[in-house]
Amino acid sequence: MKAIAHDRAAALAILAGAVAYLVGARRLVSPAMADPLGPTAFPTLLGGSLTLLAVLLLLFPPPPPGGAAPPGGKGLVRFGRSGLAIALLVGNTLTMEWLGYPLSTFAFLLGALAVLGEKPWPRGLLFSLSFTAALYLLFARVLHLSLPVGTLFGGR
Amino acid sequence: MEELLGHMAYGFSVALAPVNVGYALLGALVGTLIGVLPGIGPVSGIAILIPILYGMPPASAMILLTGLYYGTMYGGSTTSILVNVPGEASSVVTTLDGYQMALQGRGGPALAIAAIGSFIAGTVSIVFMMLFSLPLARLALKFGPAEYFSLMVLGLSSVTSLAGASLTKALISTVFGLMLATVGVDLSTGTARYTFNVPQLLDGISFIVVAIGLFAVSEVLLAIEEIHAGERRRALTVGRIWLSWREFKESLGAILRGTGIGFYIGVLPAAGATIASFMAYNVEKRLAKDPEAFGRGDIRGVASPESANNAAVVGNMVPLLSLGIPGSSTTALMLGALMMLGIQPGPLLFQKHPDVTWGLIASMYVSNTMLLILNLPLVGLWVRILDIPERILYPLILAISVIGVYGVSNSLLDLYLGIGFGLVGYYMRRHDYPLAPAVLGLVLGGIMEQSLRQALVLSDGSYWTLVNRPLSLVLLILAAFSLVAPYLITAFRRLRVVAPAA
Repeated sequence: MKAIAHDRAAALAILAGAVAYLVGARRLVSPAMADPLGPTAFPTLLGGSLTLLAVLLLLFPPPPPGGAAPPGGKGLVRFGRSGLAIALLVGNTLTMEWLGYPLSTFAFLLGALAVLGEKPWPRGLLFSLSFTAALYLLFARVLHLSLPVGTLFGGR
Repeated sequence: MEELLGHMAYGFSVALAPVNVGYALLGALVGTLIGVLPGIGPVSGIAILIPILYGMPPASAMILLTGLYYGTMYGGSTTSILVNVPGEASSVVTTLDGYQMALQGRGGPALAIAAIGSFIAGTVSIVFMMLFSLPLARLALKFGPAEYFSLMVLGLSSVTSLAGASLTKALISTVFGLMLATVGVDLSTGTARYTFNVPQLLDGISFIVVAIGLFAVSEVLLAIEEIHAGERRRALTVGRIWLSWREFKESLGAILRGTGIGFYIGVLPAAGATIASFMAYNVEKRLAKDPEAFGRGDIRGVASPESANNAAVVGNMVPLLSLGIPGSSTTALMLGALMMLGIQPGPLLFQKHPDVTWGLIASMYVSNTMLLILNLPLVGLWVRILDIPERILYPLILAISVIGVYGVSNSLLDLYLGIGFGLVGYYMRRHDYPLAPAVLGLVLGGIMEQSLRQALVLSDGSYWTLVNRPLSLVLLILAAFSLVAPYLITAFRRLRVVAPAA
């Protein structure tokens, strides 16, 4: 029953998203050209389809899958560790251009290893250092990918 | 026939020149590495190599690029099977059964059948290419915009019907992917759609960003919480590394059907390896006496898409070489590379530059054999990836994913989007929304809309053009059938069970 209630709540959120998408489509300026559809028609078709599907999901939510019930009772508690990983990814993105790729990746790996239960000292530190060096060498030196050097050190 | 053999002999004399064998080996090795790394697909691989092509003989350059393209297809299946993270779009469907096989300790046979299937498909489809290149190119020319639109509808409906337990949720996932494809500048009118005045969004949202977010990031998020809840099912390294004769026999039909489907879909410009892999999987599931086994670690579910995507690579070369029309973004880059080297692809290419065309065709045999020899011994090594403790493997996957996403356009916005899609993917997996239709919707959405608009321009705005053209009508009927077929088959089976009981 809980899964059905959840699907209905999700259907309402999808409906809201579909309506917002449709409003966005209506606001698009359509230049007068010899194109019977123009830039708005396809998005309108998609927004309309999603609206219909959301209503279907709201009215006829699928029965919960057989077997084990999806874990969700302690959703936020369960998500705690994953949330930390997300925070680390966001932190890595925020600092990458400032600290540079090697340093931000080293910090990210050290944090992520700790979140997954690796001891920070000495193995976590050694793994982070060696992985960062290997990734940097492979991608920046061998594959010539442009990775940020870091404004902190005068790079771009 | 004699003329063909003469051409092939000339082709092999080009392909087997020591320097070209070296380039084929280099391409195959780099391609396999690129394919194994999540997020760095053939397009990025070729883009990285383009600067070193300057000054190379055109035949050698094409041999290098073809080896790389093939290599990515071989390597792309590895991460799909072992860690449920597809290397590129055409490996997405391999995750369905490949990862389940790895979870059951059959990662070795899954990797082996992927390599063998790819080899057979590659080899057989090169023969197809030699024999049917021109007639198929002529048939492909009959595909107008209406037929392309209907083909895309068929591709989407095929994957929608096979993914997930709920059709409504699978359709929501498909429409979500199509909506993502509408972000960016509309190519026909120049109108910016859903870009929120953010310049980086004008080019649209990259497939790599979405695929890494939906598959890799969400996989790690789920893994982290399952590890801590003590529920994590790990892919097992125990069991056989090699596949049994019975497994090979079981897969052979799927490999041959996948080859046929993959090659034909590959020949159609704009279709390509992704749609081929989905269609081959769908056909295999439909033909199976036990369709419920698919998605639960059935070896045919690996053999069929892996054969199809390799055959499609060869098929893709047909319109590229004979018509100068790229069948995919990868062949579009190869076209660019050819033009950069002063070669104009098109109907006259076979006459003007036989060293490039026949040398390239012969080098496909060489690369294919090379990749099989390289990849089979590597199966044992790749399976060892699973021995890396999860607490180390998953941070590493995230770190590689960050590079994959950042490498698309060196934009931090892509990284934020990747994280956002990771959260969306996490929610979708938790609540049984299949991920594959969203990715396919994003890949096909742009071409689908363009085809529809072109079809309507040609028909003065009449939607009847979609059903008035026989080929388009057949494709639409097949699309409708593929959506309702699972329900019809289930109902039919129930009737058969009830009838004898009565």
